[in-house]
Amino acid sequence: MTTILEVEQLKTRFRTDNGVVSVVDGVDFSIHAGETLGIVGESGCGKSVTSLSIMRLLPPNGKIEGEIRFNGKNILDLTEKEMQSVRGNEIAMIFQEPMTSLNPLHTVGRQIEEAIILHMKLDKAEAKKRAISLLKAVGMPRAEEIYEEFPHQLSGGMRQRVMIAMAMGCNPKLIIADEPTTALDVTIQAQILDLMREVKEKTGTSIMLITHDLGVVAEMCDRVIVMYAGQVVEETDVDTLFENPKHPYTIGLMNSIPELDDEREYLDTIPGTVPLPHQMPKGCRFAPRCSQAMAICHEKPPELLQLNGHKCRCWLYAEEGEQQ
Amino acid sequence: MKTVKKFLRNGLGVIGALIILGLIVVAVFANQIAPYDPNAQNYDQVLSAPSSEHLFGTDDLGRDIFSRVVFGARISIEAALISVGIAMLIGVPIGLLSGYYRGFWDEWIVMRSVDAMQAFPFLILALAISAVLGAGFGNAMLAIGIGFAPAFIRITRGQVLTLRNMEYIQAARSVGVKDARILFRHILPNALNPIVIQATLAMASGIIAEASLSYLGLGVQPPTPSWGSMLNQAQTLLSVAPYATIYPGMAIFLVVLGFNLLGDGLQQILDPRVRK
Repeated sequence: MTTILEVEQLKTRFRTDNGVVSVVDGVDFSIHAGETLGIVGESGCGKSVTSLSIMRLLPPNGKIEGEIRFNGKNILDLTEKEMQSVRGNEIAMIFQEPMTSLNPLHTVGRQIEEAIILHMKLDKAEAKKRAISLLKAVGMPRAEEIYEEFPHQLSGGMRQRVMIAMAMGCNPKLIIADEPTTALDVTIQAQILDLMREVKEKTGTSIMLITHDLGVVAEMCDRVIVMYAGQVVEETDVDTLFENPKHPYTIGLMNSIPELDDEREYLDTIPGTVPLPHQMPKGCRFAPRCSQAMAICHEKPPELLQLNGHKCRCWLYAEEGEQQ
Repeated sequence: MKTVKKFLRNGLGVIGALIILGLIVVAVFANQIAPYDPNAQNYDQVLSAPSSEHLFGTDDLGRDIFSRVVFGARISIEAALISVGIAMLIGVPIGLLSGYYRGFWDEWIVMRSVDAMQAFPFLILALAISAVLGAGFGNAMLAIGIGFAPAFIRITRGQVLTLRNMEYIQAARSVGVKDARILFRHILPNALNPIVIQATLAMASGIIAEASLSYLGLGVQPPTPSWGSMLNQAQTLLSVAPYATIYPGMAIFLVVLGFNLLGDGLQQILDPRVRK
């Protein structure tokens, strides 16, 4: 399997009035061709910043370190101009909020065409043809009419389909989907996930799916990364994650999912909140919230251990890790 | 065609448009409409009250006020369009670039200059600029335009600051759209509404500012009629000949109202979210 994206020691910092804040701190992962990688974590853990770092779309006060190799070349070395020909063309993005991610003053067709005309150098008529066929591909009824319509005439689910059509426009090798279903109704969520899976199967594109919903992960992903406070705390394939989660944080996340035959009166929660980026604990970043924390957890930050292809950043598995 | 129909359904906007249209017609056909030469003095009929002969009466030099109001429309419409045009030409691009690229230039050069300019009362600023440039209509327009520019910089920049963080701007960047295109095709059209409103308001103030500068001898030179200068020259006659101030004053009122109604009406058709 060829690897299309390798992220190595990604560190993203922001200059703020309170000093430099490190939001993503040494993240490593890779995505293979045709694979769906899930990135899970709660709000503020650095998921979205990781994806914006890959697109190099951070606000001007953000600074990226490390290496992001896309098809073998480090995109952090590209000029802004070269980067513009990567965005939309080779890596495309689907945003969380379908209500605000389409320009209210441009017709649906014009927005889909924009990337197509820009990257594929098609003329107007050809671009229109492609835009309409994309609208059909994402399951839009009345594609020709929708082409002429404005975003406010569409429902949330339909707008998200338009976003997916936009992302598919130039047959990108990687689609980054940042919480693509969070803002949608449950029934529409399922449709959109089905559609994304269909797109992936048809075009062979890889998907990086950012979500906080483990249900979505189970449905969609091949491999999963769990992030906590700007770091990867666990990485494994999706089956192992659900059968044998290792990190106490992942286990906590699993326990907070309601189940159909649940007899618990209250759902389990993880006490506390994610530490603020400029007040990170000295040892393990999860230790203050961890029910299994030991003395060492508060003293020394754990490494990301390799346990038979299952990576986990936790002192509980230190011995196991050493044996291997 | 659809847009025109939508606009026609907006009653007040149509009234505003009709007033402005009327103003333009009067300005263009001033020669045909005015019964007298606006500058012809007639010492037999100094300060005569409105009559069938002199519809709006005559001023202290015996000039027909109706004819002067009609010719004044030309000066006023020029003042409104030219001064606001200059202000937008300066203000909008600076506001766009400043808000989009942020950083040192935006924060410390552009915005501090704007603050400094807005710290002066507008008329003092325009007065100072036109004193430096010298008297005359063109220089007065430039002075008013420069004086209005900070308001356009501020309002454009404010719009850009909110819009640049909108997801659809991010989305446009995420498909590789270049900065210039993002600024002019994606951000500017979305920022246009408050700019249009500001422009109509500024046109109204432009008419008044031109009048004030003309009164102070820095704008239109006498005897060229402009509503503001007529108003100011007649103010000493207020108790003797109220009609000498009422008619130019009404003309200003009507046109300012027209610009404001038109601005509101335009907003309703320019913004698809307000469209029904």
